[in-house]
Amino acid sequence: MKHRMKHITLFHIPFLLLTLAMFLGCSTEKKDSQEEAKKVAVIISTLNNPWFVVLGETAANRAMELGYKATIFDSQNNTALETDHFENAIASGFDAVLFNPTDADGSIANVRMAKRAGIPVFCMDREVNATDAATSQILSDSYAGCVAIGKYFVEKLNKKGKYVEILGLVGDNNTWSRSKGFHSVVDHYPELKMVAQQNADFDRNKSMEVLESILQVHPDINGVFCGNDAMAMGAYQALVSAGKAENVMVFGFDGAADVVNSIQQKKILATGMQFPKLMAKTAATYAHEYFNGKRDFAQKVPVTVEMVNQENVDGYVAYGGE
Amino acid sequence: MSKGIKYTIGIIIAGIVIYNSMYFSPLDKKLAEEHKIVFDANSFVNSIWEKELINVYDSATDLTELIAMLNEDPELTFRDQANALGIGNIGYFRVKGEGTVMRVTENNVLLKVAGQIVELETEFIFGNAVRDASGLVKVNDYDLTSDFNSISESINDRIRREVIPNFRAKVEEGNTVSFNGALELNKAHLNLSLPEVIPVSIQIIP
Repeated sequence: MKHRMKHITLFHIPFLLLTLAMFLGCSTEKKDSQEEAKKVAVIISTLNNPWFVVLGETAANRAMELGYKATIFDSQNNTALETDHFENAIASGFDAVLFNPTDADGSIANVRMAKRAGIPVFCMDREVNATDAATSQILSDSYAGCVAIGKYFVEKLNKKGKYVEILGLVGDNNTWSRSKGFHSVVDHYPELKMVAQQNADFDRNKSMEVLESILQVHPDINGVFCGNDAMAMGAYQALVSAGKAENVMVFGFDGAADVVNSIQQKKILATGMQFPKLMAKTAATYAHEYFNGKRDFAQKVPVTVEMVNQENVDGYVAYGGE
Repeated sequence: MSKGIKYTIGIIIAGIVIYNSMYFSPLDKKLAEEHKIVFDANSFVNSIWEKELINVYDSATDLTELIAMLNEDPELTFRDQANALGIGNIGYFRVKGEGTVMRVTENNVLLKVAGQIVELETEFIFGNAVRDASGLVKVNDYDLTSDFNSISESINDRIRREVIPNFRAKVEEGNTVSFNGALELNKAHLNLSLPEVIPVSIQIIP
């Protein structure tokens, strides 16, 4: 037995040396990579909307300010493309993901994939329908924001009239939080009648087309509530084309630059000011704290939404400033 | 068996298989099923109403004192007195007070509380002010944000049904009224000229 062990050891000496050399090589390489800046992936649902561009760029800039490398990925509202970005981020050795999900349910698998690879994910603005996947979710309180808009809507329409609701993406929780917040107020007024409710995927052009079609059937509406500002601008364009911009009140949600300007010009009545820069900076700061060892993050961190309207617009700047 | 019969049987079988492998239902029904709320907010609110919610509002800060504190040091007062869910400028305060009815309008009752005009909401009882000022409910205790929001709807509904109608039916100018309620304020755009209180309990003092 002793002889056999000796024989095996002698036989394997070159292999052992080779393995040792490889191990040392790897260790040196790992040490080098640890000394390199950590990499942060910023995966955004779409960059076809200025609000999300602000969110993504602020997250990336804040991560770079904190000393990390940051790369922005555009999911183009496509969960499959989002999956590709997560796979690429994992394969390319990214250390954290600052994530704006495409779909509350469809994006869960991508977050879990990163979690299995040991990469923390910090959701921004939109949530995923799981509380055991992301490290933390920094979310706009869309419901409360739309309750405020609902109250203003009821006051401005004097509790009666016909209106249209244009929804965002049906797979996004924010779409329903906003709609529910708005309806939690408006549905108490039976003389306010919703004549059409249709989705336009948070897209300006789709919203314009949707409202153009609705106006052919319901030319006598008094108000339009849109789930985001891009759709509010599209709706306003449709009303201008139909010669009805003066008679129909448009309400948005986001606090985008063109809508804040439009509120000042009395083209749009109100919006819910979200704070994309605050959310993005918080997510990047959380990633920084994670790298420094913190693990006890609150799963959901709501960020308040403030209504910007005809009476207070002068006190606000687009995207909440900073 | 002729080819025609074989094809006919084949088409029928294929038709049966395809028919039984697909189901059609309206999109709104499907979406409603996916968003079905299992959490019973009404039962939850009933369970906390008397012993917890009304209790914490009984220990609310006097509105006049709160306004004096806010005028003196808003940052400190928000930190010590306000409840807020997360990050942002908005804070919710529990307040109580007693005042004289100046005017009864369609949407509210205006009170004079130690020289300060206060708007007691009786129409727009919406939003999260009462839930969040209470400090009793935490967002991270709920997997679904929609469940968490349904708590506010249930609280507001109970105020609209049980607190407001009786008060509106009796209140008149000149009445003395005591109230407990919630006040929402914005730290960055602080406006104390006409505080709007959503009442949790109101009493007309004879």
